[in-house]
Amino acid sequence: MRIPFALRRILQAVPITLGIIVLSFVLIKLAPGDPITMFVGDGGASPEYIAELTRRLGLDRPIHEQLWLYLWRLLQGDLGMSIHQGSRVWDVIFTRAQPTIMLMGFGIAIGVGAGVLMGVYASARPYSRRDNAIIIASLVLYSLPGFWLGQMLILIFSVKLGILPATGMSSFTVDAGSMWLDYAKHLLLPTVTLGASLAAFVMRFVRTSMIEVLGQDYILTARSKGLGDMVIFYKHALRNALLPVVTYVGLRVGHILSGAVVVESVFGWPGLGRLLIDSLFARDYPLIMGMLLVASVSVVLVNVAVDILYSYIDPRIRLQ
Amino acid sequence: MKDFLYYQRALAFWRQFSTNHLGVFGLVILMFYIVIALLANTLALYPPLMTGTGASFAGVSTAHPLGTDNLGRDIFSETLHGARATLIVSFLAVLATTVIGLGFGALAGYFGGWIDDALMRITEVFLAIPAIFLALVFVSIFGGNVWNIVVVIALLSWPQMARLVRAEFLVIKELTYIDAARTSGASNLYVIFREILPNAMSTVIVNISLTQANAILIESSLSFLGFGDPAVVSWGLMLHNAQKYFNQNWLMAFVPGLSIFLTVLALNLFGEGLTEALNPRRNARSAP
Repeated sequence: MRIPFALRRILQAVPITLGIIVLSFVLIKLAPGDPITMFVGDGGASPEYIAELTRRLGLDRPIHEQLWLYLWRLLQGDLGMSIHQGSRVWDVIFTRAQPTIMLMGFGIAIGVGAGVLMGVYASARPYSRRDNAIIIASLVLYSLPGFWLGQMLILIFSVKLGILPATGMSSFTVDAGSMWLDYAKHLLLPTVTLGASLAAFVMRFVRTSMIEVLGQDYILTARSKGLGDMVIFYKHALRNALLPVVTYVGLRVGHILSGAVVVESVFGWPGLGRLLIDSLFARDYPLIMGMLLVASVSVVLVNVAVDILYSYIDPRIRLQ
Repeated sequence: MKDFLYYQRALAFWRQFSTNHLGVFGLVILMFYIVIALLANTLALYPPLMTGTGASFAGVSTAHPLGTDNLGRDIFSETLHGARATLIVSFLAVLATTVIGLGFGALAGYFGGWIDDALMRITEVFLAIPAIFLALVFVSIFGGNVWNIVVVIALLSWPQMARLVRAEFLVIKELTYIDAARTSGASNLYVIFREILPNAMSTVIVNISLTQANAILIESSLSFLGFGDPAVVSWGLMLHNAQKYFNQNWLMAFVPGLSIFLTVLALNLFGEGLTEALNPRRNARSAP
């Protein structure tokens, strides 16, 4: 009996997820400083309380039992308590993930949008001057470090021209009517910065994929029927050329998340990236490990979801 | 005779490589920064990180070719020394990546079976974790000195290298000449290093230049976010310092960032040129 593709793909993700959990557990154990001291703070506590805390956190047990305990708590969705924020790690992450998801969503939209347009434009005349220009543009965009691109955009549009805000997600001083415009203004520079390198990849991917598709017989058929370039390009060819892009963007989600951390830091965006940097400086290890875990497992889950989605778009995949 | 053959091959390679103008352009930029890094002590006007070499935020002058920063440090001299730090750290990281990646990739590809399965699952774990998260956590736990940054970049880059090497080995080990070598009594080690590896090298070399570009980006990101080695000037650290002073002297952010960008671009162009010259059948453009 064949196991359905979706189930097979989910099962494949289990060992990777376990590996990530074990790796993050090892990192916690290697972290300097005693977790108990960090929990009670500099003031200290009575020996009874410390003994009680050690037992409650399971630190008196052998290391493999601690790993089991850690796994067991994770299964129940318990990531522990943040030392500095004073609330559950999961709640802190959940709140701060929303701005990051928004940033990534718009960043991906801009990156894919610009990438597809430029890729199609280049593929129309392969190896022409236009094509070369777009390939060079892609290399330039790809080599631009996100943090520097962000700084230069701030320098130009905020410091010199003064038309866009440099940091934050919204201004306090706007009235309800122009609230959306204010959000959009704050979003523009960070999303362009985040989308730039994705656009570079998508552009080359679409170009290659389009050139391949345009060489196929059904395109020749469409041409001989007398269809116009626009119809052939955007209706017949692009549809098929875009299929692999779906998987590709899914594979890059981890890189985009990494990019978001840097971009948030440049633009003072109040998301997971800022939270990660702040908690690293505060040495809030439960929160740090929670973020490492949630970020990595999310990447794995997105990849699984994209693969399953793709198997519905292109059923041939399911048989491989 | 042997020397002559090597010379012939090098010449043939160069003829092929030099037809790719962008690749040559990349090589020139790369050489420029390598020379700058080597001669940093001679060319720099002041020691790195020396404060008060002039007024704060001084403009461009003969004493300060690129002006000064908030503490009166000379941006020109800092950039020269930054080249040294950035290039050395990324070079060491790439060296480590290549050794680890080649070793594990060759093991997995050549022996297959459970070794291959286990190693591939491990690479999948590393590839799933967003790079900057692991890098930041690692550096904050073990400290942001140069060696730890080298280690973490290698930790992040070896899976890619190992998978590439493995894929090459899987293909090459099935070729007839490998069977011939085995029948004539060659040991596993001999087959791996003398028969298969030389033919896998073109892929490895191209990936080295791309890994180096990536290593520079990771190193600069860490320094930019404030987790680098504060005692060593690097381009990322300069950008970190520049963040608050866009208004006062824009060169503070522009010069080191441009250097990072140009070096990374040069490595990417050079890598593409290498792909074309070493693998003429595989057009660099067809692989995104």
